Amino acid sequence: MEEDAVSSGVRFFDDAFGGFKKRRLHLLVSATGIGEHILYRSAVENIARLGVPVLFVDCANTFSPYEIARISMSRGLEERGILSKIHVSRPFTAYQLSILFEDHGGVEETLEGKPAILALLHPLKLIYSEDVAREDAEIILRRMLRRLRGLRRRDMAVVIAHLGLRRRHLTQLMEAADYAYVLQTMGRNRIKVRLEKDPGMSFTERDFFLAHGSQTTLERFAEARG
Amino acid sequence: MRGWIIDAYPDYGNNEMTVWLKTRRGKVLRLRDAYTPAFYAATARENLGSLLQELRNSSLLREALPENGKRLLSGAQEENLLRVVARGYADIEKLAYRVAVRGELSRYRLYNVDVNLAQRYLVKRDARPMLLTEVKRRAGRLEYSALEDVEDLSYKPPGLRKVGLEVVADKRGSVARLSDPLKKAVLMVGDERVECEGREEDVLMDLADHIARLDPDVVLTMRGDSFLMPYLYHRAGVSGLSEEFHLGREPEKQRVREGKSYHSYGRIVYRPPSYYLKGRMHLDGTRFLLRKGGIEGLIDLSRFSGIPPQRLARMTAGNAVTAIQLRRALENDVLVPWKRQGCEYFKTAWSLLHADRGGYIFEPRVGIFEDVAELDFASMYPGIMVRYNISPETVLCGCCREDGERVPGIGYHVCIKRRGLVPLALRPIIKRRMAYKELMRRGNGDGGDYEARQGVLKWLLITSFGYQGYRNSRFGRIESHEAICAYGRELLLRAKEAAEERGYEVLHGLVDSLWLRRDGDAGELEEVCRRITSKTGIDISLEARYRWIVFLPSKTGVGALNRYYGLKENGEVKVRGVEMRMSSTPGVIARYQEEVLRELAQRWSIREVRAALPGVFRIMRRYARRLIEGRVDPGDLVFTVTVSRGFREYRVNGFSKIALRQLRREGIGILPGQGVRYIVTDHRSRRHDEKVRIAEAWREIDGYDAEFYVTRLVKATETLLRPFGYTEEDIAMALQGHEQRSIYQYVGG
Repeated sequence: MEEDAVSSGVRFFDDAFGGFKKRRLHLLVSATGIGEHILYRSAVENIARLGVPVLFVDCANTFSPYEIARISMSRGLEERGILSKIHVSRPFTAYQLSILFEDHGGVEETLEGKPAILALLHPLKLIYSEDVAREDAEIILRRMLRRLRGLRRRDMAVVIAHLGLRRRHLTQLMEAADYAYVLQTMGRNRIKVRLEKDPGMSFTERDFFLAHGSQTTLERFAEARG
Repeated sequence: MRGWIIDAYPDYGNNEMTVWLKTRRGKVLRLRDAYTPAFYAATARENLGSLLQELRNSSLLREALPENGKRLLSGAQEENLLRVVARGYADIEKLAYRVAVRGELSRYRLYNVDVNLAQRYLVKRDARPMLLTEVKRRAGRLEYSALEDVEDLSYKPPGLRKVGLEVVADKRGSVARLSDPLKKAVLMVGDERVECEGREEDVLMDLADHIARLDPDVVLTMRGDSFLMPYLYHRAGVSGLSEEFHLGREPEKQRVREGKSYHSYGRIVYRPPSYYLKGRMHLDGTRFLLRKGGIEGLIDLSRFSGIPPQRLARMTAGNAVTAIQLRRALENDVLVPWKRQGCEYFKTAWSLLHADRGGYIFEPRVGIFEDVAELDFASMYPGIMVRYNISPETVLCGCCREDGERVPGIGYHVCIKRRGLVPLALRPIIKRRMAYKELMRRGNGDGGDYEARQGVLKWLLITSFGYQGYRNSRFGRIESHEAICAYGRELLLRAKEAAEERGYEVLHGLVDSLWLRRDGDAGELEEVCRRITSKTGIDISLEARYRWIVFLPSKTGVGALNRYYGLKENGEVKVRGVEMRMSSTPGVIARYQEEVLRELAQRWSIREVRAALPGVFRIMRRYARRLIEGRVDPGDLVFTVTVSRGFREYRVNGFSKIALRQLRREGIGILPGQGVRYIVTDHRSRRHDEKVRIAEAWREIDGYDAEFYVTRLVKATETLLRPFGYTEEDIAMALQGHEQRSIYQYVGG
């Protein structure tokens, strides 16, 4: 893994992609919760290795401290120490999300703790919910992405997990991201990761296949090598 | 003029308010009042120029002037504030939205934009509907002086003229549709029925004429919002009578609109559109608050909340609580933010793990128990909000970080310097409800009226807690919700300890209730209640003493929450969580369980209940025989199911989807949250359409699936008898006449 990056918490991913690069915006797109799971693992790994905090903005009320505790324990780490370094906020409406990204308070204030990662879970679910006028949604998304791009001057990686493979609304996230990965579960034993966007490489698409004899869980997938 | 305001609404054409006053002599007056509402806009000092420019660029602006001294809910003064008046009532939200968009929904902070105009007007004029009031016109505007105290509980409500309205469509299919011609309209005035029949145009105009002649204050309908009113106005349009036909005291334009489906507590709920009349109230008896409190409860809540009854009747209980909080905020001149509720503060995942939990549960022991008492906290969660000052602006306030009151278990601090808006709004509701209960206990006045009034208030209190965690709540915040739950857990633990100290065994505990069994020489329950109340600061009282109570198991066999039945000492049976309590259950099954429980209620001890169990099987066999012989009324076989998604989203051809398809063939679209009603006709059929038939078409049904309904009867029996060791197989055997003994009877005798 490169020096200017933080670990994704998944060995094959770090080996293949060099982890999550700092000062870059990453997008993980998946039809299942695997993108979010990777962020949990990444949080545990970076807290354990670097002792720095990680921020989560949970836009779909899916953030699970229990799963993080389980990952910590499976790695022989004391869960309280890990969970105490993770800072989470759950906006329940798109307007709350937009407040969180205002110039003062919210995310900006919490960044003073110099986190390794700012992780956003499924923001489009909130922004394009039926309660929000289409025009409002567009404004909130545009503004949020501008703020996130602005955060690239900070010494951390910004990662968005997006649930759902449908292209509707995804374009703007793709455009804003420096790196975009599409993760697909292929049957029981294979995870396919496609690097859809990568500014530093000559290709824009690559496939990675994982196969592990007895791999049936995300846990095992995370330990597998590409 | 002296009288009661029965309605108030904005006149968008003339930019003034319309107020309807029912005088003490029974006359109804239409009053007009000039009223200029404003909204407020604020921004950082450096953006003030651009904000003013945005406003002035709009043709919708009348004036924008600096304003000082307005405060936010947090108590802080809003800086760089402008008072903005739009060109007309209809322009307020348009102008505000234009400005908000120009500021990317973040640069400018906007206040008092979407507060209901009638409510703002009534607060501004210090007036309340349904409260006897003196009205004077002075200096071109109306002035109101209340002649009654809103706190008074034994007031005389205004004498409202009411009519009931029903329509009969000339149905082309099984279900009435907008396209079916109107056949008949019936008005019910007391015991009298006025029927309008004939050609559709005549029916419509007769109906409008009768309404004008009778001049009721209230038009009562059932499903008036979801069908009757849109149907009538649609038919008037088809008959070319759009201009002439109206049921209000002044003409109103009505068009057919769709309702809305939304999620509430994990369920999909359908809210039909609202069809208001002008000058008189259209009340739809299927609406929640009206169902719970009747017109009596609605009038009382209207006085208390300041919301005109016609609008109030269409609110959810949560909206009504919010409206009361809003009134309080407006009265205190607090700015009400638009589209911007505070987001959850960042907290550690460790804190989240501890804070994001609900109430405590002490799992019940499955079985039958004698001599059990149920203690209930009175309005526990609202009580906590009031007692511990829980409000969005007081939890984790900016002023009491060091010395604030600490929330047990999660450590949040709560403001000790200012009372929060939520406790300020809730306290009078609790007080009023308690006063009504006390009047009922003393037997004062008309008990029925008091019951209705306290019933509505109870629902407001119930939802007030949930609204703290509701994402679109105006005065909610997730930290408040978490703090309330944390206090709730702490109080239930304290209550348990106090009960055990006095020699009681806790059989079951659920959020705000405890079921206790006397253990040897335990103290008096009244003393236990006093101790708990003093330890928690929230009143707890004896809800019931049971001669016996049966706690039922869940599917996994462990004690289920809130699923029990028991015989109270006064002979009443209390039932929770079984089929007969569920709205989806067919009448025949519900009636069967009722009869079984009536039978068991004749027995006063566990021993007698057990001895009576063979009698249950006799009842079951009687019901099964009636089902098999086809003697059950089809109306008693109807399942009523709320659909959770649109027709196309159903993948499996289950009963609901089949019923939805049949309704679609009839031209009826059902939205998520609405109900479908069907009878099972042949659940084994290979043809989906033959499995069930929509209830509306029951006359076309040859027969029903007796086997299916008997299976449900067996299941309903198992629900009640499982704690006695009977399984579904035992019961099925018993149904066939084999008197299978339960394991308990073999072992326990």
